[in-house]
Amino acid sequence: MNTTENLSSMAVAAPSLPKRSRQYFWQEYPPLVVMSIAWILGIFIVAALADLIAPYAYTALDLKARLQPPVGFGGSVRHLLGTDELGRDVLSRLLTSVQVSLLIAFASTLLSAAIGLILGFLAAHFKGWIEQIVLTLIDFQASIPFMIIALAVLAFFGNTLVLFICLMGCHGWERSARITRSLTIAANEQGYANAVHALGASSWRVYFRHILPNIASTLIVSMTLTFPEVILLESGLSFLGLGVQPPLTSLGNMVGYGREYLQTAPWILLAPSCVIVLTTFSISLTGDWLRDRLDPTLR
Amino acid sequence: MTRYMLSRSLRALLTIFLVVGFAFTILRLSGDPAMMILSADAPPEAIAAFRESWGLDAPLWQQFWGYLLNIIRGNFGVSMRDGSPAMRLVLESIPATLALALPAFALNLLIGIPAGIFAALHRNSWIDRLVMSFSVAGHTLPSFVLGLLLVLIFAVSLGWLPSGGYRGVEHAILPVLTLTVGGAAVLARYTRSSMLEVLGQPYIRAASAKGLRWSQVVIRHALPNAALPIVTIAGLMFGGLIAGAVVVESVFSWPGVGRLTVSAVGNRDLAVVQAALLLITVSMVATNLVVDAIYCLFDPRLRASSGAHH
Amino acid sequence: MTALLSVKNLQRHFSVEGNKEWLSGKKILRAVDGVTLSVQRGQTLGIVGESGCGKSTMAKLVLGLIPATAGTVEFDGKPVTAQRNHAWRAARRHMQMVYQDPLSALDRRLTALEQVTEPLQIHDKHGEIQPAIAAQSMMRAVGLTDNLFQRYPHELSGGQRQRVVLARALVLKPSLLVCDEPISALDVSVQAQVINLLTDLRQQLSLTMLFISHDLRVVRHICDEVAVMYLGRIIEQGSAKNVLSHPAHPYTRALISAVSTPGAKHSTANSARIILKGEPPNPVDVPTGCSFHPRCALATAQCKTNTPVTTRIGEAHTVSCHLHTMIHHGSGSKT
Repeated sequence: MNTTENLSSMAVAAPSLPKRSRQYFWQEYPPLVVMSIAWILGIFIVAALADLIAPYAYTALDLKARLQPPVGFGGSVRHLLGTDELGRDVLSRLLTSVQVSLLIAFASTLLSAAIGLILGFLAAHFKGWIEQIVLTLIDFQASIPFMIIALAVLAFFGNTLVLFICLMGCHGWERSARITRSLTIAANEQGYANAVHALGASSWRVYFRHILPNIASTLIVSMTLTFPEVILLESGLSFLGLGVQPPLTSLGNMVGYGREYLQTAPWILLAPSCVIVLTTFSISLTGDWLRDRLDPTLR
Repeated sequence: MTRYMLSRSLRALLTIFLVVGFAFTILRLSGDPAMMILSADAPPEAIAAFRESWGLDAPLWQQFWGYLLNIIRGNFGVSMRDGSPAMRLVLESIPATLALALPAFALNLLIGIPAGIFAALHRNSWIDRLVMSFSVAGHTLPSFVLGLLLVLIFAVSLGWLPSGGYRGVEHAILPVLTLTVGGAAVLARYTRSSMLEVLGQPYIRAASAKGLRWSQVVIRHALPNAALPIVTIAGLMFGGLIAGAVVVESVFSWPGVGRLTVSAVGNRDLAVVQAALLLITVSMVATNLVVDAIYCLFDPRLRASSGAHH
Repeated sequence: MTALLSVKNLQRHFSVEGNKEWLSGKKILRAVDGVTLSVQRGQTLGIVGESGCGKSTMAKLVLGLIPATAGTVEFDGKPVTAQRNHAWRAARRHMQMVYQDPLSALDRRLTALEQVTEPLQIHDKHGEIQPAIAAQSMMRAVGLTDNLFQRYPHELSGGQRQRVVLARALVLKPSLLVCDEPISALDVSVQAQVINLLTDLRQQLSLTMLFISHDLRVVRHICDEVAVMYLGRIIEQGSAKNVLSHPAHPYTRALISAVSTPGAKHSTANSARIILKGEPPNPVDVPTGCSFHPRCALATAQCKTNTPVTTRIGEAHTVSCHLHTMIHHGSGSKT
């Protein structure tokens, strides 16, 4: 960690800036990145506290107040972001949708990283035909757009939340597997893995106490790539009506249902759209920045 | 070179085979194929005949073999909706998709590549930052959001363009635009980094030290070397276009393969889903193979050493 | 007295494929091609040779880190296998290795103290030995000051890192220490320190050492016995004094002539620098007969066709060279 920091500050400023100066801070942490991180933290807090801060239940109907515009466009403060065709408060639904979408994205990203990690380890450790199988699977996964596979699975198996999360978890594992495998092979060839083996450590110990912590940072950066992709995938599928099913609501879901009222009540789909865009943008930007900081050799 | 192409072709066949196996597996796992493909209230004789023609009472490997034969013959069963053969429905919807995909692909190349090159040549300037911001924005913007936004602006508010349907060229403008943005963003980004990598090479400095004008250096040395990875990415973007088409066609009610597949999934019209899945896979695999061939043809390193892998 | 380490006819072949895609013409790389040697308790055997002669492969074979293609390795009377099972891991307590590049041998995420403590955690889980205390005392014994304990590998100098590797290897008090070019990657000024450290520790801990190096000066300083390797075979072996002062094999002579220091007390038949002709050998294409004959100025017709046998030419001195076989059988006197 010290070395990378030193290198980056060497490369950036010839006369070294005092570490506490504001200029240094904005150079190390560009304003766009700071805003992105702030948004991400905000969204996560909102998602966690959704049930507490939502003014209404997300299924609460109020047929007398249907299709109310948001406050400032002719609406009242009772419904800050307006209501939908059934009188449900858009803000509350938005908060719950954020919760659901983030939950799915989070669980899927972890699942995908876990699958990739295990398969990558297996391929690097056992080599031989096991490695060939894993490589073929990686190839296969990388050559077919995941959307198509997802559609096929959804057609055949229907759609429960658990199944959906597992399906989303199958996206992007090939990236983690590739990274894990190549870094593990490098670690084994490099020496410290071999050296610890030669000390008498079992393979478990070598992988989980030594190799894994060393590749963790690379994996985490890869996960910041997968996370927004899952959000996009899930919202796309939900938009099409194939993802999260009612009464549950997700960001894509809201956009899908709001589509009918594009002309009459555009706020129904604009609010979740904004959230999707801002969130994926923030995470992508932060991921890029992290990648540049941690490991410029990654692409 | 032939060895390389041979191994790539084998890989392609293997992928197709895996997808067929995948389709077969999930078909068998999810219930009784006869009931699902024929629909629950088909007469028992039809079910029995189906079972026989598909060999559903035979051992598993035999079933798979029968399935494989059926697929090769193009027999995927009939659509639940109107009873027409599934494959025919899929094939009929291809032209509509191509009407969107091909212009989008061309626009991707025409916008993405120059933007990337331009950004690379003016690195860290405001042009570069602008292009990269658009690139990130285009990459993270979901196509359905973009599509709806465009409809909101151009169809609803301004009334310049129609919001959907399949009647004329003006109907295609918004969908093509939507499809283009994502692809152009990705292409711009890859082009930029490929160019930057080439520009950082010592032989570029040597070329300009020889006294060549910068434009000559770029055109004669930088571009050809950067071209190869760009070509590869461009070819692989086809898959992205297909995935994008699925959503965009639904947004604009465009009767292409994407929309057909989505409604088939929604109706659990498994015959159509299988047919679409396989067709899309085959076309993707074929595209990848073409990209491999182009790569092989133009990369002197691969041509020179026979059988060596990059 | 049985030797602590005993190697008989050890062979290790790698198959090298000519073409990655299609298996055309598999060639065999004979990294180790029939090596027999033994190391007595408390002794230090040096293995010298050029790069590619198989020294590092020997190190791994001896410790059972890679399996042998043929031949046996015995440690303390028991055979050493490369099977990574429980017995193999338990045997690690008694035999350890020091590496050429200390930076890559250490986990960059652990502090020096953590690295040295790890063997204790692996082998002594029930805490008979207090891990922290044992580790610290070992680190002090190798010359690391307390302020270095919490540093990470990249915060240490080359010499300090090698000391950490050494401490880690010795913390369980093994009987055998295999050093694979332990000082090649260090600055010259530090090399002497580390060598002196090794000699001190060897005495303190009654270590038996296998010292692999291409640097004859160091080998002369630290080793009791020396074996010279060429293309996977031992071509000369004996006590360090005999081999290095009275080298018999032309190859050994050439090696020694390259490091002759002026005013040294040894006497060689030819003190001038011997330059070997030809290219360094390719272990995939081993020459027929005596593998050294393409580069040997004294090669005869026999050298091209027949493999020389090992001839004893002194009390603690054997050589594999036709010249000496002839001389020895001929006149029976030393050169």
